[in-house]
Amino acid sequence: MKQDLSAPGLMACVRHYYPAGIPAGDPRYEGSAEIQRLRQLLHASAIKPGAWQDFVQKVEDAFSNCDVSDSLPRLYRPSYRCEVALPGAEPCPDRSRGDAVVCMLSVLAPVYAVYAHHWKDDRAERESWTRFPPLPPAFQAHEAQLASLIESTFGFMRLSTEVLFTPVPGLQPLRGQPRHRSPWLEELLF
Amino acid sequence: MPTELTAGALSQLIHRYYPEGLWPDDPAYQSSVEAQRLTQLLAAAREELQPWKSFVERASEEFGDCMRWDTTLLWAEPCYRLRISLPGVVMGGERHDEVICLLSLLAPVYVLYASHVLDTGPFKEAWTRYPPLPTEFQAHEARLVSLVESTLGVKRLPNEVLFTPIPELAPRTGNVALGKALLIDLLFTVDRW
Repeated sequence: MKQDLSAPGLMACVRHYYPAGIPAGDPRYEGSAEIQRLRQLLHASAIKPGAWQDFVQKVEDAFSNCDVSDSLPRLYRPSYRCEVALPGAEPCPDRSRGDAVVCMLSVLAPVYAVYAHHWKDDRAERESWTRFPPLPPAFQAHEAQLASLIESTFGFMRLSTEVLFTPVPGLQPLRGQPRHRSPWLEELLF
Repeated sequence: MPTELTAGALSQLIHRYYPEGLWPDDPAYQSSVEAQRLTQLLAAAREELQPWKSFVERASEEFGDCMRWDTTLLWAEPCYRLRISLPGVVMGGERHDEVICLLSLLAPVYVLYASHVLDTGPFKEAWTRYPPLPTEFQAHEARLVSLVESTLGVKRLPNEVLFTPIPELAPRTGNVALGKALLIDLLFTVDRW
């Protein structure tokens, strides 16, 4: 049966994997049926490790002049991630700034998100930012190419910024509760 | 204590507390005379917290309308640290702006810098700035300078001294490679967000 990937459908989806009204530090949180279900999914995700490595290889081939790094889902983060640096990065040991496009693929639903990441640390002043779409122009060619690769490889659907930042009252992400607000779908799905 | 607070004099001073040419993972680093001296200094400072606590109390009175955090970590870093938010910053708000005061244990010197965080969800940014601080931080900065200097009698270091490279030394925390350390890392801390 096709999964409902609308904002209400995704809110229902995350409620299947996060217990309502239980803080993440409470033993009942980890013992809940929802978190058990989420843990099972993290161990048997829709994307098999081999398929993910094949995808990363495709990304490396497509962005041959850029640094590519990736990470698998973790106990506290139900998503695959792949980061592609913009061309022209400084050599690694002395790198003092970086610009990259990052994609996140959820384990909970066939959806993904892309954002831009910038950082600078010259050992004196430091700065960093992340932006969800619309991305700055310098990031848009990478964004389009990465989105195309994800959709052609996995058939996942990209979520709009509006849907990503829909508040989901009553739930707590694996990493703990954001202070003084409800978590966003983005924090629960990825 | 150096009578002059020049980069050269401070550099000479910190060589008493950090071994040359060693990284903290090297067992020889922790067993060196210099590292032992710093360990003893930190232990003594942990036993004599009252002057610092008194200063924090005075700052709490002076900045009663702002949030304050004493984030001093005397187990690892040779400095006291007080963070004071700008007026209007609230817990859970999207914007979080602070002036941070670092006071060295190694010399009668301090540093102030600005820290900014904005998190709207789709857009997140964070930065630190050293003098000249952005305009919106300057009133806070002036009040804090006055309080620090009148209460503690310490001197503020200019950027050109703070950011003097000290390539032969490495701070004990912060994962700073040999060759990369700055005077500010060694007099205060590497953790400056």
